[in-house]
Amino acid sequence: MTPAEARLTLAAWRPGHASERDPAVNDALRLVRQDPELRLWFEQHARFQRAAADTLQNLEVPSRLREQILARVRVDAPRPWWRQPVLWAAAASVVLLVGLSLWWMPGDRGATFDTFRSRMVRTVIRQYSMDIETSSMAEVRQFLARHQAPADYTLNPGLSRLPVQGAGRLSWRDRAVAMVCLGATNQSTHFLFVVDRAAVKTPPGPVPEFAPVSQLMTASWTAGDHVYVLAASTSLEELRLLF
Amino acid sequence: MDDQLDIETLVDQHQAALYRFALSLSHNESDALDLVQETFCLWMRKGGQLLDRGKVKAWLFTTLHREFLGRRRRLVRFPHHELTEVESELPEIPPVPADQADRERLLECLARLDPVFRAPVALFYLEEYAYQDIASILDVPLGTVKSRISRGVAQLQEMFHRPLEPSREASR
Repeated sequence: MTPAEARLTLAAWRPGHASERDPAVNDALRLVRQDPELRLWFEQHARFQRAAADTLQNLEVPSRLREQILARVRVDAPRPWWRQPVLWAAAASVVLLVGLSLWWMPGDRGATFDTFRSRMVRTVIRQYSMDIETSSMAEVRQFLARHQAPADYTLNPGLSRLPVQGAGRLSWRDRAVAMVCLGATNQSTHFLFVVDRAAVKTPPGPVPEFAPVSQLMTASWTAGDHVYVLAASTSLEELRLLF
Repeated sequence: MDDQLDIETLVDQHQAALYRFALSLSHNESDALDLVQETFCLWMRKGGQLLDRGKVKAWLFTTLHREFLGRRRRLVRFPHHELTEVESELPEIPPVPADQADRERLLECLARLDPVFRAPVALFYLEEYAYQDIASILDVPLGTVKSRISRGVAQLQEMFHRPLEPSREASR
């Protein structure tokens, strides 16, 4: 074996990797011990190999990699057949179609902001449940992100001061809606709904617009890519204090 | 629920290694993230076909690599340059990455490495896989893997040794 052949053989050699011992490597290493010039090359080569391995093995991994992977997988992955039996799907489709046509079809008013706001208010008046109960806004955001609901909403100082109670993921015309439950001073709950701006026609402006809806007082505004509706069992004056 | 537990366990076990492999191949964080996500999505769709559960990790690496190659092929058909004399590509005195800047440079050199060599070299450094495992992941013969690693390491050292090409520097 010549020094050049030894160098080529040892180019694919890794320090301390037992499984790579083969006769050619042993021959090359023997030559390294005998040839000072080759030994100098080999010492530098081994240092390069260690540094390269160390660099690649310690590449920084994004802190939210896990959440991002799982979020995409849950959106993309097909459900197992036993979770979507044909009969169940067909029946659900019929019910949905009938329901949707009743709620949304007349005059194509279904996608308007007013309809969205009414629907959200009715949801919490009639029956609602939090999918997650926690006092941590970070956990709420993580939950919503995992369920493809808006999670990057912004809260003004007034809303930020309210204690978090939990959250839920609602749906509006196939769009995910974030429902964030905030504690109020009168022991009741304020409901903040957030949906993508593109989900509603004629969204409100950037300045909160107050209006009573059913038994609740609401404030609505648009910020960034999201439309916000705050619904609370309180007076107009008290709701204004939050803005 | 079992599926969710399975995928979460799989993600916990392999996300970091797969991301590093993807980043070594693409040299782009966004592309690397997308490759890893797509790999796990493919697992959800096709992983059930894998009978030998001991080969899940290799399946994930193989899938990520194929996805990377597929995307590359869609982007550009790159010419393959035959190495003339590999021995001559090994620098007389191999350089040694010493600091963070050198490490960045190493990554950039890896990204500029001929794609044929990039995956075996990345696996060689990243995962401490045996040659046979790398051959299995890349679906090439054992001798080819050894040859590609040797040539790839030679190219990498040579690239690291010489100054950046003006066009690359100008594009920064």
